[in-house]
Amino acid sequence: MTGANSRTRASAAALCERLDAAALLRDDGGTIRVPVLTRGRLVVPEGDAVLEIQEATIDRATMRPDGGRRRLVLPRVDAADLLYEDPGAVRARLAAVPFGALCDWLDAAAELLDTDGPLGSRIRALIAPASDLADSLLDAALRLNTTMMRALAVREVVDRELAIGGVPGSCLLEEWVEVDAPGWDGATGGLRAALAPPLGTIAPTPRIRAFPTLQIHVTAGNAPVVASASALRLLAARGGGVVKLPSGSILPGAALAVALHAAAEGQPAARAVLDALSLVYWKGGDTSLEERLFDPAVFDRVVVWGAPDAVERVSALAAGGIRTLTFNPRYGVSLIGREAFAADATLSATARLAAADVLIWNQRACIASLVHYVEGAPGADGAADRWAAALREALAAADDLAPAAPSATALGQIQRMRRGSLVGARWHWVGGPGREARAAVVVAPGPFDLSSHPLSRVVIVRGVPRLDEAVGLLHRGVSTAGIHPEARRLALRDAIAARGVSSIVPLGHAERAFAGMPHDGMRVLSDLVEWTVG
Amino acid sequence: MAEAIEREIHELAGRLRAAANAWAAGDGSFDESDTARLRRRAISLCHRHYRAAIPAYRRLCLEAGVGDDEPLDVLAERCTVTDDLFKSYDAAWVGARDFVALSGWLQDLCAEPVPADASAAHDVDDWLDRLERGGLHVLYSSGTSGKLSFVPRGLGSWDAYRANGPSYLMHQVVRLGLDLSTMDGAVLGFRGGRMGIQRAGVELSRFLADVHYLYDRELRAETLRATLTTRSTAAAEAARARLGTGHDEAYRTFPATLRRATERGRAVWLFGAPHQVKMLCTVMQAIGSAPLGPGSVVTLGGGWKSFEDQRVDRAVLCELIHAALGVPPARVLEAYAMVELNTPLMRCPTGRYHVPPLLEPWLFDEALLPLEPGHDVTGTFGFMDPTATSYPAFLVTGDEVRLVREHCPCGLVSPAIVGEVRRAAGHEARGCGGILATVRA
Repeated sequence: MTGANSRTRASAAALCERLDAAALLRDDGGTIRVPVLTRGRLVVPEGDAVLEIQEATIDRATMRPDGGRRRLVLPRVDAADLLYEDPGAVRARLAAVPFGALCDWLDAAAELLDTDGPLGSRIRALIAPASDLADSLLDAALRLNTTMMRALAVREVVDRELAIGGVPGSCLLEEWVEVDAPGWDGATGGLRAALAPPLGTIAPTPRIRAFPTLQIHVTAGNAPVVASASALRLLAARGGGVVKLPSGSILPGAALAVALHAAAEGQPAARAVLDALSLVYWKGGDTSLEERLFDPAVFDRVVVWGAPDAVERVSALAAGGIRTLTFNPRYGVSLIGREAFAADATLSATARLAAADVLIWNQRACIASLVHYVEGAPGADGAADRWAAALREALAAADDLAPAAPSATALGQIQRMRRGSLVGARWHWVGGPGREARAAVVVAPGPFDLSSHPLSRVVIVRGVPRLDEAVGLLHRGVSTAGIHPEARRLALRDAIAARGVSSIVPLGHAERAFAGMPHDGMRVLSDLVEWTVG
Repeated sequence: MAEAIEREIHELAGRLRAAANAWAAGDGSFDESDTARLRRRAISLCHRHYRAAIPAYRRLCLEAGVGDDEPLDVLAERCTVTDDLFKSYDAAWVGARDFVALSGWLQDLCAEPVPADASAAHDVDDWLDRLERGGLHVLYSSGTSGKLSFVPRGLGSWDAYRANGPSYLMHQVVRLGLDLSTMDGAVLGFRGGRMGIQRAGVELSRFLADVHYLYDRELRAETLRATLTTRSTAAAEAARARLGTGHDEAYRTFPATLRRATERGRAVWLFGAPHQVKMLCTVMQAIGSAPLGPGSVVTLGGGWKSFEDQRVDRAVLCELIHAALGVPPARVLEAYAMVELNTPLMRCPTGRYHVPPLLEPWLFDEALLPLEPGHDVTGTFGFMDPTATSYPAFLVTGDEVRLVREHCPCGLVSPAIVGEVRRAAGHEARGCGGILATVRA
């Protein structure tokens, strides 16, 4: 253990002692008191001004509800706690924070959250009993949350995503950067030169800067990384604002709040960023808060993730006043070329690749594959059914590695599909039909209404005579297409992109990301700063 | 063998209707345990019949390991179908006029032979006409998606559909002192057609002196489908134009029809969805229309559906009806019905929807597992209707209800739904109330 590591470990231990003393973020007989962050202050639940969230606990062996319940108790926040009296002054203070100090602060917070450290393991132990993610996926999620916060990662993302003309993004955040680009006068150029020689004939050197903005992020709970990732975007853009935690992922957000707050003690130069940050929860649709919060005189950007009703509601709140970025519900698909059937071993290996894209956050991520288009002969013994059988085997193997079971609601939806809209389909079950179901591959005879998909390792397989025909079924609602084999991907890539699909990737790699990667066709960080000419 | 089973089912259905009559009469002649025995015998026979004659049901049984003789709770858990079954066809077939495929689909969930002639249909209405000429009555319903649910009934099931309600509802008619032959019916819907709510008007007209319709023309399935599925505003407008008179105009002229009935000294039986009745009352108050004649009644059906934003408490609606139509709350009836159900549930004066003894009610949890029957249980409503032999009538709905099993202050002894029926989250608003919403939109 290095000296720095041991110091961090010690400070994480001390932080845990403070949490214990305040009876926060620990399970006290089925109740967990959760702090939130409002404009840099850690606020704890006290008195009647609290909100409660009920959670069902999960049997970690079967991944099914074990009948237990627990409750999270959070402070109730008011819109006034989240607004700024002088938004301009806040932006100015944010702009003065050195990017290096910001990175150091985030690095220190990441160190506190290290999954092997006292705080990280404490949080993991709190999250696991109510998480429907298998241990391996849960651990990966928590590691990802800290990895993304590391200074190295933040700098890479900012430098690439905000870069202009070879200038790294961090420089553009930090200072006014001279633009080496040809310029031209407007229609008044000639007049200016005639009216005010010689000053009027000198062309000033243009400079631009990525200026901080104040943002509201309404996040979704479909994956434990969403709230943290959205918060990190706000921070990486050196912005301020409010991150609304989703009810299904409160604890990772609270852990982030605690770590950022504690880490700021050693990073005074970044304090202005903490002071402008709120990580809070309120019940979506709470009009008494939301109608006051979405104030265009204060906030510059709204980011909203999630279900159609949430996106619609939040977009309406921001309509006309605050620029809004929406991450609408989308879904992934897989396109399987006839080459996959060359041999049994090839088929099995391809199906296992495809299974990886199905497993992404148990299919609740918008990049997870829900539909497989399989090229080949039609009929009950055709390619679609052979694929379904192979994929069923792959999903069964995945269930051994990372077990998952549909929630009661998802199980109900699966049964509804089986005994209703997909009664004519051929079903290949993992775990068996009925209440034993753990996953299913469904060869559908025709189109299927995806709005009723249970998002629980259920794959709809549709046979197509040629993969090109599947391209015609894709649209902007599809986020990601995983294609096999590679030659077919390269051949179809342009056609699929032209349909509005954001990522066209090799099968099995739908979740793979890279620094500066666009999200839903957007360079998001670039939209979260104010590109200012000066 | 199969015919013998079907014959026995319909014989039992007749006995169940007689029992329902005794139940509604409240004269002490109703034998609850004997009726339950009859009903369960009929359900077991229905299961054997469905398993033998309905391919889709047989597949479910095979997959779930369900044989011919299984207890009711096993059938409830593994063999109940959902309302989506009746629209599980590929919508593209309708657009492509592929009635060979559509007939093939119908045969998969139907115990009756689907008339071969139907495959040659040129549109949905022609398909329905051809099916009917071949002895298969197909009613439809629709959600806001515009995809129609088709529910087929052969002769036995069709007769049950028409006879079940009157077998127990006539007592309510008698108690209200109604002489149907001297009353006019007023249906806030289209004349004829095969959609559930229109069908109610047709059935009413069998008993009433005269029946008037808010829209005095048939609602064709093709028109409805075109209106609901079109994405372009212009096409939607054109489709609505094909429906004829505009919505507001129909409401403005209907009070004159009601006034003429009153002038002839006839009481009126008004039938409509709650939002429609509310609208009619509002219009009648605005133009100062006279109330309906003495002895009139109002029956509400179809729920609020897509008109949730207009929902008012029942007490408020009853007050409005009383003020505008002169019909007191005691004469405002309400039914819970759906196109897949042969047996409507009527709301009693205490506000409960009673499950007639023809039906075996079930509640399901969110995982679609049947809940233990109990004194007071809340869940998703389902039922087994053993008077339907043409399609699998073991069905779980998308409606959240509270079901109590206790003696009702109204005097009826049966399981009853208490309080409002709400569409479960994630389920499309459907049924006649929802559909008219879209037509109007």
